[in-house]
Formats: sequence, C-alpha cells, structure tokens
Amino acid sequence: MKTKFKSLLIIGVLLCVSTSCFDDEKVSAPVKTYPVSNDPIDRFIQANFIDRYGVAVRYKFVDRYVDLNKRVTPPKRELVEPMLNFLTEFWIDPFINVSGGRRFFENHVPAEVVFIGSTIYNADGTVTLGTADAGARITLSEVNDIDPENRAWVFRQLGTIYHEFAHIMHQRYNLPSSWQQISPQGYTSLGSWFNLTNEEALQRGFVSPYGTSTFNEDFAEIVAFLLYDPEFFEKYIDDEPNCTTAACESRNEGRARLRRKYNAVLTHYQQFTGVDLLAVRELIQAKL
Amino acid sequence: MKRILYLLCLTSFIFTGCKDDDINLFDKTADERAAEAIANLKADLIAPANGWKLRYRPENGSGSFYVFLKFEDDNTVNIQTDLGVDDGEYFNQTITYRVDNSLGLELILENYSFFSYLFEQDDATFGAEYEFNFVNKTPDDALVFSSKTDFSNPTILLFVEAAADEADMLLGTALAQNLNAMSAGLGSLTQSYKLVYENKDLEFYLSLNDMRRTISFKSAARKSNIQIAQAMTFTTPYIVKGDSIVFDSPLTGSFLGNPITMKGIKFNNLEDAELNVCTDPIQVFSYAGVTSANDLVQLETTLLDASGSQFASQSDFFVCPISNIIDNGVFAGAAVAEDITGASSMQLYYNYDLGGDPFYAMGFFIQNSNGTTTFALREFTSTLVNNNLIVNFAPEISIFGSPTTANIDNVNIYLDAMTAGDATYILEYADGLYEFFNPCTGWSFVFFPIN
Repeated sequence: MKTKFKSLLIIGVLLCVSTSCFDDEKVSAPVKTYPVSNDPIDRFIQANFIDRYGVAVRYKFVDRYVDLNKRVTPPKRELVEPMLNFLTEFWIDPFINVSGGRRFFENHVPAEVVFIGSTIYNADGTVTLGTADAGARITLSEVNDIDPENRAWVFRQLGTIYHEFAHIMHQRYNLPSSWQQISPQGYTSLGSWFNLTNEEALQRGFVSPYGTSTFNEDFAEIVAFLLYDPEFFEKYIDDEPNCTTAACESRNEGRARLRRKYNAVLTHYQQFTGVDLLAVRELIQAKL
Repeated sequence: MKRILYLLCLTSFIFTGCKDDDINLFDKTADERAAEAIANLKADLIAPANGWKLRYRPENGSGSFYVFLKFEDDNTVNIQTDLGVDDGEYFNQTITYRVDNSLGLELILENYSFFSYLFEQDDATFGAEYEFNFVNKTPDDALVFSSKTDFSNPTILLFVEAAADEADMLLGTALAQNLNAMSAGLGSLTQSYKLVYENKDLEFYLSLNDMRRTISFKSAARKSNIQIAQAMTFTTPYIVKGDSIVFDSPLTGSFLGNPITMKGIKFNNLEDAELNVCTDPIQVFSYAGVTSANDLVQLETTLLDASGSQFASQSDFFVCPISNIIDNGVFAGAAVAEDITGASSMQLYYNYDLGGDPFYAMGFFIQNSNGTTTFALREFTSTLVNNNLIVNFAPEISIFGSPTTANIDNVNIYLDAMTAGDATYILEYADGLYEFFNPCTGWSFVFFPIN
C-alpha cells in the first residue's frame, strides 16, 4: 500500500511538471530591426565604411563607448566627414594600395571606430589620446581639433590609429619570436612609464617612454612610429656617427636594440600577412 | 499515510497555483513597452509649436542661460542661445538627438553643441551636461530632466513651452557680440572693464565671464582721481535678458561716498573709443547703458586692474609654462621651444629672498638634453604704477645652474615682447592666475604663483 501511494505521488509530480508549460511560450525572441537612417553622414558611413570594409564609425554620442570614469564630448557634425576622409587618406588607402594590403586590411580592420570630439579627460586630471578594445574598436579623440596642416595634430592621430591597428597583429599572431629578449631590462610598467624621458627610452631601445610599459605596447609603438614619423630612421635606426659622449654611445646602443625590433616587426608582418610595412610607410610619407 | 496525502495535496497546489495572468502581467513585451515610452517622450518633445524654453544654470555658483530648443520628428533639434564664444557659433545650431532608455528614459544630444561646449570647460569639470535623464511631466505639461553626468546634486532642467517670439526677446545675441567686440579690441585674454557713471564721480573696475555668466567688481575709484580707490570683492552670477545683464544678487553699499544699489545694467549703443598707451592708438569700444537705478553709465575696455596690481602680495616667485605664452591670440609654446631648445617655462622672481638683496629677475627654465637644468634669467629693477609694470633690465642675461647649448640670446625675444614700450599690464586672469599683457605687442604671458 505504502509503495502504491509513493508511486502515485511520483506519477502526480511528473504529470504536473510535464504539463506546467504553456503552449504559447517560445524561447526565440523577436529580432530587433532598426530603420535605415536618412542622415547624410550616416549614409556616407554606410556606403564608404560599413558596406565596403565592415567597419562602423560611431560619431553620435553613446556613453557605453567610453569608460564611465572618463569625460568626453561628441564631435561636431560638420567635422565628421573631414575626419572620415582623413581616415581614408591616411589609414585605408596606404594599406589597401600595397601588395596584399587590401586583403590584410579587410580581414583585420576593427569592427568599430569611435569618434570623440574632445580629448578624453580622466578622473585623475590626465588625458588619453586614443584607445583600442581587444582589436574590435579604435577610439579617436580630438576630432574637433582636426587640422591637416597642423603636424602635431596629424602625428597624434596617425600615432593613435597605427598604434591601435598594430595591436591586432599581436592579438592574432602573437609577438615576433624572441621579442621579449631584445631589451628585457628596459621595460617599466603601465604605472611608471611616464617617469622616463624620450632620451632615456631611446637609450633603453624604445621609440617612446610609453613603449616601455609592456611588450605589446612596445610592438605597437614601433609600428606606429615607423609608419608616421618622417625622421624614424634618423632618430631610431641609424647610428649617430663619431660619438664622443657617453650619452651618444648609449643612444646608439638603444638603436642597436631598435634595429632588431624593427627587423622583427617587418618580418612578422611579411610572414603572417604578406604586407610590406615599408611600402605602406612610403605611401603615408608621400602624403605628409 | 496521512502525511503522504498532505504532501500530494500540497504539491498539487504548488504546481497548479500559477495562472496565465500572473506570468503575462503586461500585455506587451518589455521591448514594446520601452519603445512606447520612448515614442511618448519624443512626441512630447516635438509637440510645442514654438519649442521649449530652458533657464539653464550648469552648476551652483554659475550664472544662467536662456536656451530655446525645437525638437523635430527627424531626430534633429535646433538650439538657440546667446553664448557669444567662438564668434557666435552657439547662437543657432541644429544637431541630432536621441530619446533612449537605460535605467530610465533619457535624452541625449548626440553631436557637439552649446551644452557640450560648456561640459568641456575647465578640463570637463565645469558642471554642464548634454545627457539628461527624464524625470517627469508636470501637471502644466512642462518636462523635467536631470543631469546624467553630474557626480552629485544633479542639475535639474525644466523645459517650459516657449511662446512665439520669446527667443527673440530674451536672447541677448547682440549684447554678446558687442561684448565680444569689446574684448577683441584690446586683445588680452582677461576681459577687464570699467563702468563709468555719468552723473557721479565714480567708476567700477570689473570683469565679466561670458561662459560662467559671472560678473566681478574688483574696485571702485573716483573718476577725477583714480588713485582714490576702494577695493571690492563682489561677484554675482547673472543672466542675459535681451539687451540687459540681470544680476542674481544686487550690488549694494556705499562706494567712495556714493550709495549704490544695482540689480543689473541695460545696454544700448556701442561707440568707438581709443586707448593711447602705445605709439599708435588702440581701437576699443565704449558701451552705453543705464543701471537698474536709472544711472547712466559707460562700460569701457580698460587696462587698469586693481587685482592685477596686487600680484606681488600673492607670491615672490611665479611660473608661466611655455604653453601659457600667447602671441596675439595664438599659442606660441612651439615657437618658444624652437627658439630656446629645452625651455619649459618662464620664471619671474619678484622681491625673492636669495639671502642677500631682494632678487628681481625673469627668464626661462631650460631642461637640457643631457638631463641638466639651466636658468637663463635677466635681472631687473622695476616700478609698478597701478598694474603697469615698468621694467629696467640688466644689460646681460645671467646663467644659473648648468651650462646649456640652447640659444640664450633668444630669451630676449620674449622679454621684449612682454615689456616693450613700458606697456606691461598685469591683469588677474582668474583666481591666482595673472596675465602679463602688453597691448603694444599683443603678447600675453599667464603666470601662476608658486610660493
């Protein structure tokens, strides 16, 4: 008898469980659709960036594109298209117009570029010029200061774009082999790199103090400087002749390390993507 | 046995206790309800024929702006203000907006505008905003928003339906343009004015901050003898109403024997005037007006600044980073760095105690490429007449610290730019910041005290 009731109880529970779902409950949610924008800037971006390369350019302010503890402003509407043209001229065109470059660019371009009008103001009073998130998004600041005749502004923007685009290389293919062994003593940290001067960074074998912060930043900085700095070879690769001071000899020792990194970077791009960075540099320099 | 029966009954109740109504409490999905709320707020925003009027105070202590907003169905909004900066760029703007939902409904002004200009001031610490949380709709159909980005005490914004032509009556764009013309005439960063009474032997020295909408009275003096003066520290926020500046708090008191109550100033004619402190006269303006007490006044551009004359009481050592050197409105830091390799700042020693005679010198602090530092300073004696610093330099530049390869002679380029024609005027640019301005060369050097 006891066993019968137990069996009944179990059957009852199973019945309740198996019949307690409603027929009309579905697990698939409706797919959200968004109307096509008639905004001329949106249409320009759709045609020239999204349809062509699969990269969305965000210029209308959305706060989730920026860390909550940072304060920024959106770009001016009338400056968005000039900035898009700047990107095309100095980023897209130089890459897609070298051998193998189009395929490389289309396969590695981040999904999003975010325009910020102002500089990025941090809570501690410092500013950030640009950021990249896991190769998926590049954030460019100071769009409202656009001035192609202002070399300082141009170099800041190009430095940011090329630097962040270079991060995608080591995220996909790791750093060149033995990269970490070229100047292992020279690295600082993300919290202390700014205590170094340019001179000290060069003597350690880096193109900038920021490059000393991590192996990855070192790689990205060298790629960026190689592409945009007209005096890259004079400053970082070619030895100063007839050194008579200890400082000069230290700088040349740094350049010896930089030559190893420079060759490793060129080989890395050539090996994994088929792109000749020197050919890209040549096209960029011709525009500066 | 009984216990098993009770359990069976209880289990049946639990599994049959839910009804369809409880699960589908709302007749629409969350997305549908959010979309409906967004559509409703957007409909409210675009409803008024003349748009909305906003009396906007970005932060406590600042003045206020009248702002007129006309939202359209195509997600654009026209914004009208009387903020006169950048040649009136923010008088009339059309940008895009978005009504969105996050923790609640929010209104986002998506492109750069009057609001983001203010947001960016003081390294983005000025308390303005361009993202607003929707709070509620009042019984008289005004819309209430609060700042999404204020860290504390969020600004409350009340959108009130605007009347026809109200924007034309309240916005003081002509007043803003006239004040722009007045400040541009002199070329200094500091907007220094004097308000001269026509029917009293009295003038006030004051400064206006168009962005913060504050007016500061710094001193009063007799028209007949400006050496007879009375220091003042009265600052009040204001709002522009058409052709008038209306103070939040009235200026009241007795100044050099004149009882004064002033709640605001109504301006009318902008007239040409001249300042004769250089070889060629400087074209400036005089703005005629009448105070709220019906006293006729003239607002004039001036080089005199009682606060500036007190700079030496703040410190005996001042520094001006090369980024604070301005040549006729253009930052000259890059040129300085090119002329004097390694120069990072100007220094001014004024009655500085070096252990012997008081030390007076100015020049550049240079960081050499080998890590050493050099002070390239030219000593001087000086006379201070009101806020006019007249400098008599020693013949040579003195080098302190390490030797340098920088071109030291170029230091004189900038010392001359500051002191040429004995026309260095010290103006209080902001609290603790002093602009050394030479109207004859057009150069400005903004120093801050160190000690």
